[in-house]
Amino acid sequence: MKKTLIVSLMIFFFTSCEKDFEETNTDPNNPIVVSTADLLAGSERALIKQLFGMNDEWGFAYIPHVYMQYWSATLYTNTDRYETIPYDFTDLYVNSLNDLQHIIDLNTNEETAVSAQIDGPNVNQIAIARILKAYAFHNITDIWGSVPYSEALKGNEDFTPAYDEQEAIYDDIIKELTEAAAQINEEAGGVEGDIIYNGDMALWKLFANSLKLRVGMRLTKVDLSKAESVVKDALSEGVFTNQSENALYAYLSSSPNNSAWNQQYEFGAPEYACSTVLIEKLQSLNDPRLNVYAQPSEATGEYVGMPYGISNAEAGAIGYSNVSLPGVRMLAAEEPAILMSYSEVLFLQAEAAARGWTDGNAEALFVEAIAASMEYWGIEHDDSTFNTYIEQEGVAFDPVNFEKSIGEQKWLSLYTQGPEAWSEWRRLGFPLLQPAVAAVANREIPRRKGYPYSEYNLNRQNYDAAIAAQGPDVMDTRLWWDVEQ
Amino acid sequence: MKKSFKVLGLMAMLCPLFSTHAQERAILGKIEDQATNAPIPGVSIVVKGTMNGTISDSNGRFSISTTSDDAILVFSFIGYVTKELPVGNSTTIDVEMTEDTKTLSEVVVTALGITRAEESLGYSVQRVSSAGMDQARETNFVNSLAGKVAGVQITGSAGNIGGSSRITMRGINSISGGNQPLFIVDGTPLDNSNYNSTVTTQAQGGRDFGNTIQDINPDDIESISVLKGANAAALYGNRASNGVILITTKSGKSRKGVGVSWNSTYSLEKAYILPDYQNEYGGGYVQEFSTLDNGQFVADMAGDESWGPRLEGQAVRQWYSFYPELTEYFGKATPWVAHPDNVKNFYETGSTRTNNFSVEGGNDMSTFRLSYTNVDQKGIVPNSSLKRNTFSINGEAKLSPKITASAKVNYVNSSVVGRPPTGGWNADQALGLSFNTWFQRQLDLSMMKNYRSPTGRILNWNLSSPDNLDPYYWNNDYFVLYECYSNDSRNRIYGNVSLTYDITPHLKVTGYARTDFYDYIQEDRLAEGFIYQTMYEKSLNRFQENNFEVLAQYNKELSPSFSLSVNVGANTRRTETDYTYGKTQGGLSSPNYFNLKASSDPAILEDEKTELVVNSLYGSASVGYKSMLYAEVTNRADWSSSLPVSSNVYYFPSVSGSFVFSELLKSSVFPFAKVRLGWAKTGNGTEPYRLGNVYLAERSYGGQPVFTVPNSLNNASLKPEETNSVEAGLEGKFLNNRLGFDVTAYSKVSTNQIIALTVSGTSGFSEAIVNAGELTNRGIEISLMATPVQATNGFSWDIGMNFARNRNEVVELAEGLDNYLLGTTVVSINAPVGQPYGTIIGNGYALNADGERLVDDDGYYIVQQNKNLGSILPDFTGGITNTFSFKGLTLFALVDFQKGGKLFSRTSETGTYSGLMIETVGNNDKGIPVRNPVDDGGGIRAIGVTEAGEENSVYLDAPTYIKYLADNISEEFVFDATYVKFRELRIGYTFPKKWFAQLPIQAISLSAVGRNLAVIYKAVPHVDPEAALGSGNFQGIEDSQVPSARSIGFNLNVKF
Repeated sequence: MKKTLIVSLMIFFFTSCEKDFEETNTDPNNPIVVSTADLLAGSERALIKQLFGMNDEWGFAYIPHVYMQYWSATLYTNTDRYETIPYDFTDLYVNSLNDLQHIIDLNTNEETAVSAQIDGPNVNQIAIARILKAYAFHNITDIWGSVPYSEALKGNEDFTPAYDEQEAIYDDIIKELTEAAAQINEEAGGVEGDIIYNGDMALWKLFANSLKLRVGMRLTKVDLSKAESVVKDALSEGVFTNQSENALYAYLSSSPNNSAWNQQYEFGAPEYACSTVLIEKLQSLNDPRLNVYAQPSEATGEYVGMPYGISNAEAGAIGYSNVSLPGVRMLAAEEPAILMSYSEVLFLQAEAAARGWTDGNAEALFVEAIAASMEYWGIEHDDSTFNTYIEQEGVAFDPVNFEKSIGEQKWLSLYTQGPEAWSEWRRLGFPLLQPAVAAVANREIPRRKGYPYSEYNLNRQNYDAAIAAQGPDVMDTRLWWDVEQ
Repeated sequence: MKKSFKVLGLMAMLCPLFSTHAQERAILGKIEDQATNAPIPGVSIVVKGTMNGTISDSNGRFSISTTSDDAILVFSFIGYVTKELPVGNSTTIDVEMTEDTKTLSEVVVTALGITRAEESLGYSVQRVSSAGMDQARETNFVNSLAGKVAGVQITGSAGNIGGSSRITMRGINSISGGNQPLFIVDGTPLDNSNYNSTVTTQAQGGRDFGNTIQDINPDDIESISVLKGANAAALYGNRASNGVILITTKSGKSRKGVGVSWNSTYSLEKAYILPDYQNEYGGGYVQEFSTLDNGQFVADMAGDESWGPRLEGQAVRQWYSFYPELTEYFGKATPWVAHPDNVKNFYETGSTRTNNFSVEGGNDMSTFRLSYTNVDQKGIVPNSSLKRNTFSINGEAKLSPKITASAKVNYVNSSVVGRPPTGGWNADQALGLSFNTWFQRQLDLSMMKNYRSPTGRILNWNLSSPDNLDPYYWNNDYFVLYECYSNDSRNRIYGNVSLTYDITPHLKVTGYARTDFYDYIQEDRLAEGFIYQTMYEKSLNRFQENNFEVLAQYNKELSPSFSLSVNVGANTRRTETDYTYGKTQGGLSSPNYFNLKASSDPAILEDEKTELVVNSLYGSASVGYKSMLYAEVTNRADWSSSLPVSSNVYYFPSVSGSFVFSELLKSSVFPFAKVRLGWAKTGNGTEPYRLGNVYLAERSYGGQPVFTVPNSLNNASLKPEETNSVEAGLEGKFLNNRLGFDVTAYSKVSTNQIIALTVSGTSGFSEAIVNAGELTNRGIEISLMATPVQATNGFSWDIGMNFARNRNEVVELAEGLDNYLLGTTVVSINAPVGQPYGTIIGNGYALNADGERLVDDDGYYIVQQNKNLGSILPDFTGGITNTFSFKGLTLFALVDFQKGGKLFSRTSETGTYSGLMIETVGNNDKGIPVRNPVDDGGGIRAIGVTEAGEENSVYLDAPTYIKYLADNISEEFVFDATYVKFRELRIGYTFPKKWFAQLPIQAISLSAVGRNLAVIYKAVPHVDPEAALGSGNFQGIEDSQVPSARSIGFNLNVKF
C-alpha cells in the first residue's frame, strides 16, 4: 500500500513538468503573428469609427455637426447648449494610432520587415501609416490643441506622455506628410488591406499633398508666410484633380461596418434633425442640396428646421416627426465617410489664389469648388439653374471679403464633415453663427473640446502643464492657430 | 479529465477487494460523571485513528468492536474533558468523565479540513452555525452569513432571484484582481465566477445572473469555518489572500436504524424598499397639454419624464385612447389622475418553496447520507422564476481495519427564467422597469398587463405620437418581461473521493481526487415588437477544476506534556474553462426564431478557452505544551503555469502561537484567557495568458480580416500578489462562561499587486499589466457573547455581538501614477494613492473658504470638477444576535449594521432629473409650489452665495434647477450607506415527543421565519443602501436596482 501511495504521488507530480507549463500558458485564443494588411484595415476602420462614427457609435463628428448648427437635437439638447466640456481622445490613440505605429514598427524592424513585405513594400506600408497618423493627429490637435504627440504611443516606455504644443505638432505633421509622400515607391507595388485607396500609392501621394494643402492653409491666422510656403509646396507636388481621387472610407451594408447615421436612424429614435439654421440657409439660396441634405418632415411633408439651442423641454415639446431629418442618401448604410474631397481642394486653391499666392483665378476655382460639391451629391451643375445659383447675392464670390464667400460656401459643402467644418469656421470666421439661445452658463460657440477626465486622472502632471501653457481647459480657450483677430 | 476518471475508476474497482472483515471483538462499558456518578448519555466513543465509533445510550452504556489490542478509545462529550484509554486485552471498560471547567474544548475545522481544538489555534477561526440557514433561507446562501461573522462584509441583492452576493473579508487586498474568498466544500475548492456581462458590472443595465457559489445547498451544510486571516488560510498559498470559507457537509453517523428527515420551507417575498414618488404631476415636459385638431387635450406620450400637467382629473386623451381596437377607450378623453401604487402593485408576491429529504444511516463499518433538495421560487418581478435540484451523497466505509474509503458527491441542476433587468438605461437594450428613471407617474400599469390588444398588437404607453403608435423609448414592461426574457441553466457536479490508509495509530495517509465541474448556458432575446432590432444571444461556459491531493497526517503525544502534529501534503490542480458565445446581428431572419442561425447579418462569435496548472507542496507542524502553549509553522510552495517559467515557484510560510495564560492564573473568575500571535504570507495568483503579447481578431470588414493590437499590454515578468499579515488576538471567558469576548487586531500589507493598470490611452494602450503598488488593511474585530439569563426552569437568553472595523489605504501604485480607476459611470470609483480603495470622484459643489456653496450670477451652483466624494468602504460593520429558548421554544433575531461607506444612487439622480421623485414637488421657501412658474413665485433657489459673497436670490424653474443638479452635481446623489437592518427572525417550536409517541416520528419542529424584515435605519433615500454590481471590484453604485424583498414564511422539520 505504501508503495502504491508513493507511486501515485509521483504520478501526480511529475506528469506536469515545467516544460508543459510554457505550453499550458500559450494563449490558444489569439494569434501571435498576423498580417500587416489585417492591422491596416483595422486601424483605418477604427480611425473612421472614432472620428466619423460607425454602426452604434456616433464618433466625434456629431458634436461639430451640432456646434456648426447643421443639426439640432430633437430632445436632449445638452450638446447644442455646450453643456459637456470634455470629450475623450484616447480611443483614437489606442484603437487606431497604436496599430498604425505597430505597422511602421513591423515594417522597420529587421526581424519582421521581411515577412511584412508580403502585404506590400515596406516603404509604402510605412508611408500609408504615416499619412494616416498625420491625418489623425491633425484632427486631434484641431479639436483639443496641445496633445501627447512626440512621446505618445511608446507603450510601457512611457505611460504618461507629455503634451506637445500645437505649433510643434503642426510642424511635424507637415514634415511627416512631406517625407511620406517622398518615400512612396509606386513602381514597387501596392499595399494590401487598405480600405481607403485599395493600396493605390499614386492616390496616397495625392492625398498626402492635399492634406498638406489643408494643414498649411490652417496657419493663415497665426503664420501667414509659413502658410504660404506650405500651401505652395503642396500645390507644386500635386493634389486632387477630380472626384475619383477623393479620400473616402466606404462603409458596408451590414453591421458592424455600416455608417453610424444609418444605424442611429434605422434602429433608434431620431436624436438629431436638421437645424433651422441649415434649412433656412439652403432655402434662402434655393440651394439644390436641400433635397440631399434633408428630408421633408414626417408630419407635414415640408422642409422644416429644428430650432437650435433650445431647452430640452422646448425641444421635447416639438417632436422629431414635425421637423426635417437628414436626407435619405445620408442615412444609407454604405454612404462613405469623406476624409477629404476634391471640392475642398478647390476651395483651398481658390483661397490661395485670392491671397495672391498663386496665379489661379480665385473666382473660377470657387465656382468649380461649388460645382464639385454639387457633383458629389449627384446634382446637375452645368445648367442655368447652377449659374443662377452662383451668381446670386449671397453666393457670388467677393474677392475683397473672400473669407466670407469661401467660409459660407465651404460650410455648405462640408456638411457630413463636421470636424473640418468646425476648424474652417474657426479659421475663416464665416458663416456668422449665433450661440445657442439657451446656452449653458451663457457659453459661446466652443472653439475646442476639453481634455478627457481620464487624462486628469492618469496623466495629471502633463495635463496641468498643458493647460498652464495653453489656457484653461474650457471650450472658449483658443488654439494656437485660432488667434483672435 | 481523463486522469481523474482513471483514478475514480481505479478506486471503484478496488472497493470490493476490501469488503471482508478482520477478526473483531466487542468491548462493553458504562460511562459516569465523576462527581455525581450519574450515567452520561450521548458520549462519542471512537477507536482512535479510525472512523470506528459509537455513542453511549440513555443509561450511559456502550458497545464497540475493535480488532486490535493496541486500540485506544477516545471518549468525548461537550462539557467534559476528553479521555483516552487503551483497550489492552480487556472486554469491559467503565469510564468516569470529569466536567471540563473551561467547557471550551470546542472543535473547529481549519485549513485542509483538519479538525482542531479551538484553544490550540494561534489565529482566529470563526465558526458559523448552519442552524437556521436551512430554515430562513436565502437562494444565495452567502447572504445568510450577513451580520454573523466579524469582519466579513456581504452585499447582496435581496430582491433578485439568485442574484449576486459579494463577500469581502478584512477589507480589499487586491487592487484589480479578485477580492472574493476561496470557497471550499469538504476540501474541494468551488468556483465562484460571476457571469454578469460587462454592461452589468459597469452599471449600465443588463441582468444580474448571480455568482456560482449559490449552488451550495444550505440543507447539506453541517458547519462553516471562516478563515478570515492569512494565518488561518496560509496553507492555501496563492489562493489565500482573501481568506477561505470552509464548509463541511452533513454526513451519516453510526446509529440505530435509518434516519429520515424532511425539511420544508414555504415563504412569501414582497418588495419592501420602494422609492418615494411624487403623485402630483403626470408625464410630459411642460405643464400644458397639447390639443388635437378636434380640440381634445392630449397627453405627451413620447416623453418619458414627469414634468407634465398637474394631476387634477382633467379629461385628456391618454395612450390607450389611440388604439382603435380598444373600443372602450378609443377616441375618448379620460381623467388625468394619479396612480400612487402603480409601481408597488406591479411587483408581485414572490414565493419560495423548498423541500429537502434526507436519509442517513450507518454502523461501525460504514456511514452514508443521501439528500435531495428542491427549490421552486417565483420572483417579485413578473415572469421570473428559479428552480434548483440538489442531490448529495456522502458515504464512508472501512474497507479494512486500516483502510477507509469515502465519497462525497453533489449534483446541482438549476434553471432560472426571466432574470429581471437592472439599470436605468442600457446602451443597446432599453429593457424596461424604468419606473425609477424614465417614466410617467400617472401611468396605470395594470392597464398594460394584457400587453397585446385584441388584434395582437402590443400596447405601449410611450407612443411616438398620436399618429404613430410605435414605442418611442420604452416598450410595455409586461411585453418585455414575458417575451424579451433571459433564461439560464447550470448543471454542476462537485465532490471528492478519497482513500485513507492508517499506517499506525498516529500516522495516516489520504489520497483525494476532487472535481468541480459545470456547464452553464445563458440565453437572452429581444422579440418582434421590441423597440430595437430583434436579437438572440447564447453563451456556454464550461468550467472544470480537478485536484489530486495526497496528505499525510501524524499526531502523537510525545510525553504527557508535549503533543505533536505534522501534516505534509501535495496537490496538483488543473483548471480549464471554455466559453463560446454567439449573438445575432441585423435582426432575426424569421420573427421570433430564437436561434443563432437566425442571424440576418453574420453573427458575433466569441470562443475562448483557458487552462491553468498549479502544483503545490505544503506542510504544517504544531506542538502543544500542557494545554497552555501552542506553536505552529506552515509552509506552502506553489508552481503556477501562469507565471514565467524562469520564476514560477513561490513560497507562502506562516508562524503562529498561542498562550492560554489562564492555565497559570488558575483563577475561578477568569476560567479561560488566551493570547495569540501570528505572521503569515499569502498570495493571489494570476490568470493565464498575461505574459506574452498577441493580436485580437475583430469582426471582419467584408472579406477582409481585421486584427488589432490589444488595448491591454501584457507583462513577461509577472509575479503573484503577496500579502504579509500580522494578527494578534485576546480571548477570554468569565462568570461561569456566561460572558466571553474575542478580540483580533490585524495589519496586512499587500504588495506586488497584479494591476491591470489603467494608463493614459495616449501611450497606445488603455491598460497595462504590472506588478506594483501597495495596499494596507488594518483592522480590529470584536466578538462578544453573553448569557444574561440562564434560569433553572430552562429559560435562557444568549446574546452574540460582532463588530469589525477595517481601514484601507492605497499606499502606492505604479511609478508616476497616483490613481487607479476602477470604473466610471456618472461618477468614477478610484483607488487613489493615500486614500482608501473605492474613492468616489465626481462633480460636486464648489465651496468658498467658509464652506458655503458657490452660486453663479444666473443662480446655478458652481461646479467643482473631480471632487473627492468619499470612499465606498464602510467605517465599521457588525451584527447582534439574540437567542431566547425555553423548553422546545426558541427565538432567534439578527440585526446587522454598517456605518458609513458612500453610495451613488442612479435612482435618485435620474429619478429627480425626470421628475419622478418626491423631492421634485412641494413648496419652495416662499411657500409656493416649486413647479409653479418662477414669475408666479415658483421655482427653486440654490442655497449658496455668489463669489462676491452675496446670498443667491435667483429662482430657477424646477426642471431647470433639478436637471442642472442631476447633470452637473453628482455630489447631490452620493449618500451615506449606513444602515441598520432587522435581517433575520426565527421562532421555532420543537413539539414534545409525547404528542406523537404513537407515530413513527422522532421529532417535529415548526418555525416561523423571516429574512430582511425591516430597515431600522438608512440614510439613502428611495433605495436599499445595499447595492451590489455583481461581485467585481466596481461597486458603490446603485444602478436603479430591483427593489429589495422581505421574506416571511414557515419551516417544518420532521425526523422519522
